[in-house]
Amino acid sequence: MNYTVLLLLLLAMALYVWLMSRYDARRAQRLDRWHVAAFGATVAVLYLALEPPLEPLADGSFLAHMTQHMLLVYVAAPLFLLSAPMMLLLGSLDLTKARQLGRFLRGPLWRFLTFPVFTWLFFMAVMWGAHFSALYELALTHPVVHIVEHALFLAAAILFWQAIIHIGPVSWPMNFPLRVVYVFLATPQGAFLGLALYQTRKVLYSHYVMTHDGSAAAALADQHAGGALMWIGGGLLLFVVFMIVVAMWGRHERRLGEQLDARLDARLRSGAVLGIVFALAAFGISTRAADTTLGQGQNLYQIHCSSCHGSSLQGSANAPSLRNVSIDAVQFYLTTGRMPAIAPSEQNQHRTPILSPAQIDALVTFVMSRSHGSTVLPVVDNVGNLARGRALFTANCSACHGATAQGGSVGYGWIAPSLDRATVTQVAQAIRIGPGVMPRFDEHTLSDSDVNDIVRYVNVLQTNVPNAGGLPLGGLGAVAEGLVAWVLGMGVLIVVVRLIGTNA
Amino acid sequence: MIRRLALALDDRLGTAHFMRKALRKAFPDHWSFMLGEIALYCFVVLLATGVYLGFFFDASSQPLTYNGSYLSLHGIQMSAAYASVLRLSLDTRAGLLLRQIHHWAALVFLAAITVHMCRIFFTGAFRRPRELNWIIGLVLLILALGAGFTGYSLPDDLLSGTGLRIAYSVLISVPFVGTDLAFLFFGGAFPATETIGRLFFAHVLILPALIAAAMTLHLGIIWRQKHTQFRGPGRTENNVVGSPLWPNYAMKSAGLLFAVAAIVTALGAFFQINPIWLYGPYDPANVSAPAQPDWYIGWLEGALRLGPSWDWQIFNHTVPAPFFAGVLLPFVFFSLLFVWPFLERRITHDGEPHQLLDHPSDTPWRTGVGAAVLTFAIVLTFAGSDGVQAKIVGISVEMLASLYRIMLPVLPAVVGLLSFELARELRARRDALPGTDARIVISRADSGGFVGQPEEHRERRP
Amino acid sequence: MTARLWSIAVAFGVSVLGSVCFAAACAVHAGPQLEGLSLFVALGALGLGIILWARFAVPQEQAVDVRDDYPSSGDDRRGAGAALQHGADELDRHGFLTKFLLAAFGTLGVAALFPLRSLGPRFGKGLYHTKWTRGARLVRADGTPVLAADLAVGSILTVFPAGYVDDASSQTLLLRLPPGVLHVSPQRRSWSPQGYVAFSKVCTHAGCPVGLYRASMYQLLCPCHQSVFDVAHAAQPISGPAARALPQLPLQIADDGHLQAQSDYTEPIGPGFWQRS
Repeated sequence: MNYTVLLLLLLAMALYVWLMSRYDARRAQRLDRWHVAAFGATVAVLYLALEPPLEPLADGSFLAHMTQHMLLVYVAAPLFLLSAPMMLLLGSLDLTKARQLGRFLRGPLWRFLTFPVFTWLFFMAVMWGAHFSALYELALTHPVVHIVEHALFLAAAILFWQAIIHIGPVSWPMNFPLRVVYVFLATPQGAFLGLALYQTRKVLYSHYVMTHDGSAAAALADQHAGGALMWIGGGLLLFVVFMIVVAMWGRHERRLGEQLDARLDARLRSGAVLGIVFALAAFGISTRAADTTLGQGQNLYQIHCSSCHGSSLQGSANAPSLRNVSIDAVQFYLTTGRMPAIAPSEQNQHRTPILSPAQIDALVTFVMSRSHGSTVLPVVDNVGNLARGRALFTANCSACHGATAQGGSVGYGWIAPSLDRATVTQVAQAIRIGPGVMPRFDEHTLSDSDVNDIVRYVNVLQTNVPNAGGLPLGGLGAVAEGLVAWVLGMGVLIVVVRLIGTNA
Repeated sequence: MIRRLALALDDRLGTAHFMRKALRKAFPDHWSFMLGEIALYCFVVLLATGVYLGFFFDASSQPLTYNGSYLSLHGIQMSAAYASVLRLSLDTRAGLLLRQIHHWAALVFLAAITVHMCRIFFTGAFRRPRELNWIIGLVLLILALGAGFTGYSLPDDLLSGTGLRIAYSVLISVPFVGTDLAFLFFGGAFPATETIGRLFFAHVLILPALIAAAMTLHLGIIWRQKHTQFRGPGRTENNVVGSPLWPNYAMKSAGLLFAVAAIVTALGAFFQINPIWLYGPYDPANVSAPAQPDWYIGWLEGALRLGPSWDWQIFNHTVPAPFFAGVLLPFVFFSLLFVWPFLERRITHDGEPHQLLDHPSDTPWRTGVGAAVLTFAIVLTFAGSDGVQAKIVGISVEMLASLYRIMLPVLPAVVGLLSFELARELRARRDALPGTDARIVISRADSGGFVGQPEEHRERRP
Repeated sequence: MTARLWSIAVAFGVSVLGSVCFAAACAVHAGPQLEGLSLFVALGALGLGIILWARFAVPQEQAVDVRDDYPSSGDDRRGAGAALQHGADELDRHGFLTKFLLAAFGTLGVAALFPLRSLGPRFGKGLYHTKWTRGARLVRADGTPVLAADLAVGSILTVFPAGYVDDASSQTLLLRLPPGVLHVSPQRRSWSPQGYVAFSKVCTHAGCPVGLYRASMYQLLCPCHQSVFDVAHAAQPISGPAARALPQLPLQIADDGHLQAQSDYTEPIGPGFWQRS
């Protein structure tokens, strides 16, 4: 019985309980029973790995030792991450310490440590280094080194897994294709390590000869068994993870496909609706048939929104509270199809909404009946001053959205979207609410007539953009032009000279 | 009638003596020898379209209020230069076409120079006696970069004005003399009213004159030294085998001129380039995305983006970050290029004149070094557009920049090594097979009669 | 005529057609696409015709030259050397005159550079100050002043000193942060009243306007080389090639609610330069 480990596990549990008791869900996000279960499971797995019956066996058997390591690295580490420890810390430490922690998480050290290329390489380096160097033997004979080794395994594994488990603050969010590649690349090299241990004729760790009563053959068989476990077991575990990531990706894509189908069906219904008509209609409907709409809205809310925004609009780990939301925000998110969200991710993209306009009206009515936010809709017509609109657009919008509103990158994986699908009302609403990382511009910063001018210019960019020179090349400027010059200019000319000249 | 003209010229200038040999001069016509001509003909197109554009451009920073045909800019304050380009693009017949042809021709001009330079390098055409022409070629490259940069900065639009600001900042980063030089060239603190006029003068007179002079020298040296050629049957270090200048080579060359003109015309007709009316006039407080220079400045842009954030403080003075990426790096880069023929001579101890070209696999080490340097420049060029890539691919631009920083030392080394190995492998394979290179040397045997022996192994460089 | 010759003739004929169309397109202001298409046909067909002629209608001759142009023969070299030496000897007879000649050339060369000084003003204090002064009101780009109640939290505005709208070096970003987010150092405690904070918009790396604002992260991003500045921490650069924070403009709120500057920036704005300490 390893009392040190037991004591440490008990301390960890006590710390967890203490932190949970201080946890302020308003500051960070909600932690539910699954997170607690994950933590509990982590403790259980750690206990299993580091206490009898495995611990005493591991001293003598390489296979048992390998099982320990696998439990630590492939089971305990991801489970720990699934319990959202960083969110717990951020939400339960006192404000100053939480801010310090936040600063550290934004700092260069943490960003370097969590950089996926580094975590991948570090994990591999630790795995290979531990097994193919004097460290392994040293760990077997010096308990301190052994503890350090286990800690190193855990640390490397946690860093490795956190690159693809996006719970809590993520330094380097990777999209699904990248995550798939990340796991996919990890699988063969883990297999190679195991294979190397399995196939070698040499006994790598003389310690096990001793524990097998001097029989080198038995030690070799033990080593082979451990290698096989790492090879097959590790490969299987990573393969399972790979399939999970692919399945999540598939679900994401499938939902996108459903949206696309809905859009193709809705093409007849959709069209360029002038903002004022829509605004009046929404307002009209919401005041007229209030009861049935309210009931329908509540239904829709329960189906589509409550899982993230809470049944009483209180918000959750994945979504903000709606108790003070303005009508601009609700309409904007719903009419651009960003909500209901496919998956709780930070950036939602403009899609064809899966709710019909009538459903959206009902939902808006319901939410605004429970919200204390502003119920004033923007009055947008399409006759603003074009030149003034261009000047305001250039001064306030084009730095992020691009000179022709084609969109652009704003760093940290965020994209300022292209405005080609937004209606004039949606543009006006976005300006007022500042969705995502966009700043908000209220009436004192950009007056209503300013906003009118801007949407007039955006509308011209959408419908009648003056591309007098020919194909606009996606509005990507000199980058696309350089590509065309090389491929279509130089490329064609090289073909021409090959035809003119000889090849001798 | 041509005969009468020729006779008249000879009476006065004695041209027949020169023409007799010149018209039959041999020009090797491997296709890769025509890459320099592509650049030359792009320059011809640039001159022709540039003359037209020069009549319409107003090189003045004088502010005026626009009241032309583009409604989105009505009533807006802009410089006379910008307004003149607007008018040329939107209100003048053939104006936009010729302006776009001019700009596309500039992009292809620099692409052709780059490909031509690579051909010269990888075939060893810069070796003695052609070191001088290599240097003149590099001078042409630098002049062309300058002409391109000044050219696209002339319209005084938001995108190129941002680029000018960056150039100004790079210039003031030079220690000791940077600020004075910047104030001297730009005419004061940025933005200065003299700048556009000076850019115009440089772009339409100084740089084209220097380019034309350097090109004349470049071509004159080729004429005098005669073109190099690849190894082949009947080709030696002492002869030139090719098409005669008249009629064969002249016709092919004329055809290439029109082909180049046609391609850049097609680009100018169908692909919009530098739509300045969408960017708006330059306003120092505004910026639009994406903010990139033309492709041939992209490597400097990439260097500035990837450059470390060093602002060195030395005894109460600052050497800021743009100096290292914007001044030091290109200086070192071009210095290396300039001294390369002499450097290679040192390394190979080969000071012999060479009239026959190497195949890239003949000197694997040079191929490897060249591939590495080229990869370095290409990685920097791609790094210059990381924002656009981040938007398209969906990765965070910070991660992309870090990836490029890692790739910058790694990729050239990898590509250089791979090229080296590949070249060596190709050479070994070529040596192993008899091939057309192997020749039989026939000599008289002592016992009478003739004996044929395969030619001895040519000495190989590593 | 064979098919080859016909194709060359056709090519030239198409080129004629193209040129005529180009002339017509220009005359009627047909736009770059039609003008360009016709010009492309004109030039391309012409080039194609010439190339076809060169390849197929002219005998493919080969010429061989001998490389004997250089280096010159020994006689020539010696003759040239002798001619050069003759003149040099004549000049060397009055050797001291050469030194005077060199002095004249050298001084003329250096003196010729002096008119270049007129190209621009001396550097002086040009980059050390902006147009911001004590009490200067913050105004928007259209000249209207900014009141303390104007900006919402999470919003951003580009401002200038009153009377100097569009002055390049004075461009300033005005932001408003929620209480508790802004970290103020002790010296700057009075610089940011009511959560307002103002920074120079000129990037300290290469001078581009720092136009992108990630409002929910309180971070400014410069589009040129992707430097990121942390607004909540005195605009320190946290990523990218910028090495220095954006200079902060000390703000105050006047009695009538207008936002004013307490003074000019306390350091030179924009990119670094040699004389900047």
